[in-house]
Amino acid sequence: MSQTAIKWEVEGGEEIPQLQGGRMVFAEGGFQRGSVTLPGQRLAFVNPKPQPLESLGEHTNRIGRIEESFVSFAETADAVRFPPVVFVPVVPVGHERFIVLQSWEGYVLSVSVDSFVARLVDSKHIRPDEEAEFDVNELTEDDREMLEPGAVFYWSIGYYDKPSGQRIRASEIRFRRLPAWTKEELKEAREHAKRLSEQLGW
Amino acid sequence: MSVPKLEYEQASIVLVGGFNPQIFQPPWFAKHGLLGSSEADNAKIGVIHPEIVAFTADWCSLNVTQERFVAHTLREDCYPRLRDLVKGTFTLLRHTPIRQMGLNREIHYSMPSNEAYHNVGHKLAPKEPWAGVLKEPGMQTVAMQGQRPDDYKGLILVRVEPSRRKEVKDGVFVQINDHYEAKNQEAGEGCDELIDVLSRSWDISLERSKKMAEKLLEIQ
Repeated sequence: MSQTAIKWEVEGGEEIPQLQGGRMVFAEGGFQRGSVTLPGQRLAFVNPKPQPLESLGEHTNRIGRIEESFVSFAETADAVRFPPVVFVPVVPVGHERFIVLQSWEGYVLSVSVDSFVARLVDSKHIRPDEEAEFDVNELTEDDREMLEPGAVFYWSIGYYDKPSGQRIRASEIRFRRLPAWTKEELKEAREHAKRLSEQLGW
Repeated sequence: MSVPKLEYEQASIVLVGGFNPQIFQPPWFAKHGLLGSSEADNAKIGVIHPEIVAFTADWCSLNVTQERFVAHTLREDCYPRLRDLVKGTFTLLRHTPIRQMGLNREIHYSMPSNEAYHNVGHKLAPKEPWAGVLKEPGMQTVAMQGQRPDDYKGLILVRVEPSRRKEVKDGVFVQINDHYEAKNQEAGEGCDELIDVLSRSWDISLERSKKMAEKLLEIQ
């Protein structure tokens, strides 16, 4: 008996289970064909050696979304655990797009419990610098860890086109991620600053 | 007057040199703060193999072989982050031998009419020389190479084709490859030099590329 962990989802109420990141279609006799969706393309495969399903995971009632399940099939002499890949015509997949109307680079000036104040510099250097206050809830969990005075972030406002075709107004703040300064780099920077200071006679 | 409409675009940073693909896995990027931990945790792995690593993490995709590092994003709002990701990566791996760098932008435009679509081909690839050679010749690809407008070593390559995206009506695809070469490729010390170029030139390159595409399609 072999098991393959999969995620299931019924599409449009029909009995078409979906694999995480791809699709498996179960026809009479078991695991017949499937596909994997990658950015901008879909690769598909078919199983030339259909094999009977021995059992389905106990949560696979094929109604509604089931987070984790598994499918088992008999491991016979000619069983194909991972079906060979046969390419079939590519099916276009939906495309998401963020259309930027305006963007700024921001520098955090101060942080309070539930908000922060930042100086905003227009990315195209057309508008003058501005200051603005943001709600901390605008940040992703990942970025909240980076919130401190001096931190740099990018703020974009625009339209977000969903793969479904729906368009929504969107605002996104993401903090700049660069590696932390090493001790060696800090030492070099201090020495450089010291040399500059001496040259300026300060 | 109707103008061509930008339908899809993407930007990528390509580095050519010698890489150890297995380093470039989502947890490594998260460990060094270059990707958020949830971005790394939820990354979709394409393949992890000693010779190739490919994954997609929310807003960006990476594809690394032993000779080539490619980072790309489909989101215009993430272009600065793509630069930071590559800059951060090779600030940490500063001894990586890198010889060449491409700052690439690809744009799909839908032309305002079928006539305007054909006019792009007529303008870039006149049909007169093909008279008597081909019946109903049509432009499939035009690629032009030019000198850089700055002092960096390299060149600029522009390619124009009919868009292969079926959903882009009367679509034209423009690809700009802003190509840089390390000054001393033999020394294997191009990393610092090219990452410095990336820091200074990314925004300029993106803007220049878009202007080039717009000029070709007479949007300006």
